Amino acid sequence: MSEALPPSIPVRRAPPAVALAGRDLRARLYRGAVRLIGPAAVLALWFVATTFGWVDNRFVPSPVTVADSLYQWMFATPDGQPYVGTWFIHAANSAYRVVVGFAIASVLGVVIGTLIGWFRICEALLDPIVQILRPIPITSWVPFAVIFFGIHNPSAFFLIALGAFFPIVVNTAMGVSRVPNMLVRAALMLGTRPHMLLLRVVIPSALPYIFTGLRVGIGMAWVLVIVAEMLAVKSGLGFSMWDAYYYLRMDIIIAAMLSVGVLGFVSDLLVLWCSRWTLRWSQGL
Amino acid sequence: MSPAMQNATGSDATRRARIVCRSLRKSYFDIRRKEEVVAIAGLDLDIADDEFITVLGPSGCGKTSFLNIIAGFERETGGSLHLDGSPIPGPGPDRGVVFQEYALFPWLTVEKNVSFGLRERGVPAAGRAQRTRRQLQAVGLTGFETRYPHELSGGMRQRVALARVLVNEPKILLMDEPFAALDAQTRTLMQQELLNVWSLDRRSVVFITHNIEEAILLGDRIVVMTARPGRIKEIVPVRIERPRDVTSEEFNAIRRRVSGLLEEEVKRAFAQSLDPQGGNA
Repeated sequence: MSEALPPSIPVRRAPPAVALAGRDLRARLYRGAVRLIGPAAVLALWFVATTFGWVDNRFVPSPVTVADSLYQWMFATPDGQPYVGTWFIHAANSAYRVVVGFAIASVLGVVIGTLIGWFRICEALLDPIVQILRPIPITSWVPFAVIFFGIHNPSAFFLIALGAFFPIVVNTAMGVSRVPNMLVRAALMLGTRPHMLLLRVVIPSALPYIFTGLRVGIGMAWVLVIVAEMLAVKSGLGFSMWDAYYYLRMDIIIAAMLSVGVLGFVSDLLVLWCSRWTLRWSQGL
Repeated sequence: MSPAMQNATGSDATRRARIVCRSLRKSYFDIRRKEEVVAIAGLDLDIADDEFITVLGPSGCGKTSFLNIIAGFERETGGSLHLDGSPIPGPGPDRGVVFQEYALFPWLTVEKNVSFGLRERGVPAAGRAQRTRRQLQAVGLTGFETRYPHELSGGMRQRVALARVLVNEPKILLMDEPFAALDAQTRTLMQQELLNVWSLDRRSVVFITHNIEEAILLGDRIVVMTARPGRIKEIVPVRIERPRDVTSEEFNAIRRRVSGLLEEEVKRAFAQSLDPQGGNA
């Protein structure tokens, strides 16, 4: 049979399904392992450099020291010392500020972005303000935040909300302005009353853009919670970082950095899952 | 009354005219050319409440403008258009539009797309579900309720688009080259299904097409339009029993006649397109 086929076509039996599943799992494990090589190399380099005295351990502590400090900070019984068993309080403070600031930014960003994207007059009135304020680094608002809101949570809420607001408002406005006219007409001819268009057609159609804005926004929120806590409030992971610097506790600074990295990554994943679920209709569009 | 007008308006007196169109004009200002462009230059047409009208004409002859005016998406700039004796107030569910590009809501499932109009018009949930189910069945979409539009083929999408306007029980169905993006086989199938659905519950249809065979196959009358500025060149009645055989002698006779009419206008439209002045005589 097989010799009748031209030699370029390999005659091969389809592998059984079980073997396929096994191969698939192995391939996934392999891909996962490959992705660990980079971080492992960085960790190894860090370990080697600190263990063999390539860098001053007072400035860059070894990963073992950092892991130990982080463990103490997280799980040891609090004894009044600043970095013993207080991690969860600080992390919760930071997360709370991120959630509140991000929520404010999301509501304002989506509402104002929709107005800018849909109503020409709102675009004319509001867009110039947004475009002028947007390039100003949020850090330059710190003095005003402290003067108006004091060294309290509202100060952090303000800075975080402001930082997350711009990506959300800009993306929402773009998404809304790109709603296909055909869909608006379709809704009108099906019986949608004009005042319901925003809710029924415009916002659903702009959702992919809105979620892009939200993802950039949640990233900004974590950047700004650290800035706010370093400069404008007296608790949280950012405050711990700055405070640890005064005692030259570089291990705590690195532990706090890693903590923020993980928390930021997790919150981005949460937004991503929300977005995937909400936008399940757009997969493959 | 001029002979042309008699020709244009002359549908059977026994049937009720749903759409009455008199000296309808549509012009707009072309910003690029900086001049007034006349899309429709006086159109007289009556459409009965159970009549299937197909509209043929070269590109830019105002076919789509005519449909958009009935739909309420655009306003006429002269003359009048009445639906059951009243002017068109704006888009509404009594005039269902099927677009060439489907224009389905991509974030809604097939079922939600079809029930969209009922929901917007405040039909209670129970009746909504039942009517949606029946309509999905009528266009052969049972089993696809939970799919999203992007998961469907072009023919399936157009079925959804048809179902979502039919479920509203419109007085008139407006179709703007609805099958132009489909492959030949699917197109033939959709034409048959459209005729089936329409013959079960006859209502006015205005069906725009570029395809002569499609126009003859579907229409009670074929409105052949002139090149821009759009006027009615001739109305060709198709008195062939359905289902129509596209290879029959009488079908071909009409095909020859319509082709001849259209060819003149397509040539004129082409000559206009070569004329840098825009040929807006």
